[in-house]
Amino acid sequence: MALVLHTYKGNKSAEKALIAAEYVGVQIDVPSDFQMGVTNKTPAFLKMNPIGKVPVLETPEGSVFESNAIARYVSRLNGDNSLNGSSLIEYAQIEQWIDFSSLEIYASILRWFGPRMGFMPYSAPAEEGAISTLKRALDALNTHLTSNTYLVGHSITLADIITVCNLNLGFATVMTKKFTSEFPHVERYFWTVVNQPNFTKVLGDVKQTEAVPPIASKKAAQPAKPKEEPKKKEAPVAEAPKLAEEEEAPKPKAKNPLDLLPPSPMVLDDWKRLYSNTKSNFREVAIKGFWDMYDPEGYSLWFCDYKYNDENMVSFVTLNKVGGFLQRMDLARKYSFGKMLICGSEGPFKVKGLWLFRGPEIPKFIMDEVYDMELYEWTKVDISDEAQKERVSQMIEDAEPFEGEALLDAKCFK
Amino acid sequence: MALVMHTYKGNKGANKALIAAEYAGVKIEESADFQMGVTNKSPEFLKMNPIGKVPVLETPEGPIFESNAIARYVSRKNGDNSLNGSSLIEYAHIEQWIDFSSLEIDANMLKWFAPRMGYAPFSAPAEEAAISALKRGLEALNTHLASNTFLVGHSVTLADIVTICNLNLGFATVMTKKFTSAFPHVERYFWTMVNQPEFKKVLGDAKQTEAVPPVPTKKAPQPAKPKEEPKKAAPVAEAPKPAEEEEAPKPKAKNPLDLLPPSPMVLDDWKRLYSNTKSNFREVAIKGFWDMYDPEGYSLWFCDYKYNDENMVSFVTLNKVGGFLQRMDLARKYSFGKMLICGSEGPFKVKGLWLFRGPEIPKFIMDEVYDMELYEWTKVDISDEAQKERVSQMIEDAEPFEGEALLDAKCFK
Repeated sequence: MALVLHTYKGNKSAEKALIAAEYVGVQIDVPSDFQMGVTNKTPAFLKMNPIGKVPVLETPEGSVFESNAIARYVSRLNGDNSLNGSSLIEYAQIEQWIDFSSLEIYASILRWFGPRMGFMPYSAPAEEGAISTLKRALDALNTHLTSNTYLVGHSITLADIITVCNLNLGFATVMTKKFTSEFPHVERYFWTVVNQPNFTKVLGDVKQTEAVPPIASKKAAQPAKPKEEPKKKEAPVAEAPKLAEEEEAPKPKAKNPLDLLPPSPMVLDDWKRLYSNTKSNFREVAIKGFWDMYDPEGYSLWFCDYKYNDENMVSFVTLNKVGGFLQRMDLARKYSFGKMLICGSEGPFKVKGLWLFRGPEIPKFIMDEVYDMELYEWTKVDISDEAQKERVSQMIEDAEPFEGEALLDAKCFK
Repeated sequence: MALVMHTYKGNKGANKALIAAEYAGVKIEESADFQMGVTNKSPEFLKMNPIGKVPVLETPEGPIFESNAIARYVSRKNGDNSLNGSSLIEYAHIEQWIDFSSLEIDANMLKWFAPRMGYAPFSAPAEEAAISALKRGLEALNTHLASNTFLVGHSVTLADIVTICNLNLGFATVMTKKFTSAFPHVERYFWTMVNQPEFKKVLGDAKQTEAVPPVPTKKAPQPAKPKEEPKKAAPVAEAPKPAEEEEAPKPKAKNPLDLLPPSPMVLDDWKRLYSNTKSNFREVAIKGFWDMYDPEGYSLWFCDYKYNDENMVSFVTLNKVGGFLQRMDLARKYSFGKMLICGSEGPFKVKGLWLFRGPEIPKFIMDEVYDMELYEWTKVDISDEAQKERVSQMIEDAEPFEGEALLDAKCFK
């Protein structure tokens, strides 16, 4: 029978099934032309897995997704092996450790590793929570391995295959020797198992990371203590995280492309000062001043609308969301000015924004590095349209009511 | 054969096995005297499950933990049922949907629900990401259910049992009708299944929540638009429980610190002195502090971060401390703090000095600012000259501090 595993090369989750296949003695083909972001978006693929994730195993009877389910299927293709234990209780304990290592260990590793690589939003308390949970789980695993060579019974089972594949992601990316030395039996177990021939055949030489990768997002240097920051992150992968590549020593920071644009007669700081210092006759002074200063060739104006307003039921949650967005925009302060209006006297509140960016388009580095950007629908302002121009003016001056609604708040980024 | 389920009543994880037992014709006893936080901390329990979580199934052959593993065991206890499918590919599909609903639906639902109940730190971007991922998972499930009555085959399988138990938590807590109406086949599937007699016997009457629970953290109201904020219930140490119907918010209780006997020390006066003293800081501000300080109305505390060995990256460390101070906003009327980040290279040490109204660290701060438990807290003995001097040095950002350069000094005032 022909089995085809659809995935990109090096996918960690696929390794579970491939190792199980080695123990079971079945052949699995991995197509060499798989393209992440392309192949998994095709109708044929989505028919196999409606969520479009990898890996997916294609069999003569039908397709299977979810990596542990695929591994379970493979482990039972040839009944003559001990991967599923020799009794019902052993089978149950194998399932117990499969779920434990997936839900307690792998999930926590992802919650530590994912934000570090820019695949998820970073939050220091969330990372601390993930590390704490991971330590608790590894402590429990360490306790169990104090008196057991393998997780269940006296030979390799599917529980070991899945657990070691889960640990491998951690050892390769975030779990340094300093971190794992607290769990000596886990270390002994991991290195013993990954060096089994059926594991090395699939995993190759396993290495432990020397350092935890730095956080992906750029932050403005503290004025009093400037520090060089790691260079810009690689574009995030849409699906499962890939193994971190060795990071080069930071290169001198590249000049921002916006600094290379032709000079503009508009000086952003002048506008910001006018905006901040105008206390009365705001429309006649500041708004008129804005349109006098505005350079449509050197800058562009954008409206943005939050895509998920129906979720904005609680006022301070909504305000926090917008506040966080503006904080994360700090890296663009030299190149932009923004107004965010939170509209409505009760939930759901609508979040509407106006932004001025240097350059004819939304700068690429902002789209790449501020993940909030994709939570908004962006529309370029047509200033030849008087209604749009008036809307810009109203947003700059926090006109109330705005589009028929009261303002809960108006936040300025300047 | 006697099977005993160790858990508190109503645990969602245990319900999976109990429903499977109904279909498999297996008898499971629930231990009557289980006490969450007590029984699961006992040595006998930890021997069954070293991580101390529930549920745990005790069998004559040995214990099993992890709710899906327990359900799998129960479903095979009596071979004469269709819970595991009639072929290898059906079995694989059942496993596929068990894992899908655990990893794509339940995990994201918990990421939405747990911070709302105070069991995990709240982060608006993380919640948005969880909701987005949950929607994607439900969309895929909805697609599958558009052409299937059950997840696999033509009758209830273990996949349905696990998935419905996972969805039930979501329907009961965070997924309003408005939210689920985007997934009509999931709705149809859920309500059909929970009304099967075997499900109803274990789950009782399933209900859908009317509203998403509010975030428990107290925040100072915006000056221009003050709003009343709901009080949170004390968090449970272990697995989250379904949210109980929240009462309409009561008028906010007076802070116990406002009921203390008046103190001759006026905190705002000290904060003004601290902020306005530009020169001769030690002679003016520090001396002024000790002149003002009222050891009966206030207390001084040192705190040290418990996990300094993780502070390898400077801006990560600074962000951590900055976040702590932001979350302390609710205590601004009652406290003053200095946080020093020490060292010229990693690992950086985080050391703090705090002044709190009252003789102890106020309970509402310990309850509501989760960073507090990341620090070791020691009351200052001001009769000890060395400790008193350390307080003075921390107020004035003395450098070097305890032999080390300061990366930063943050003030909460």
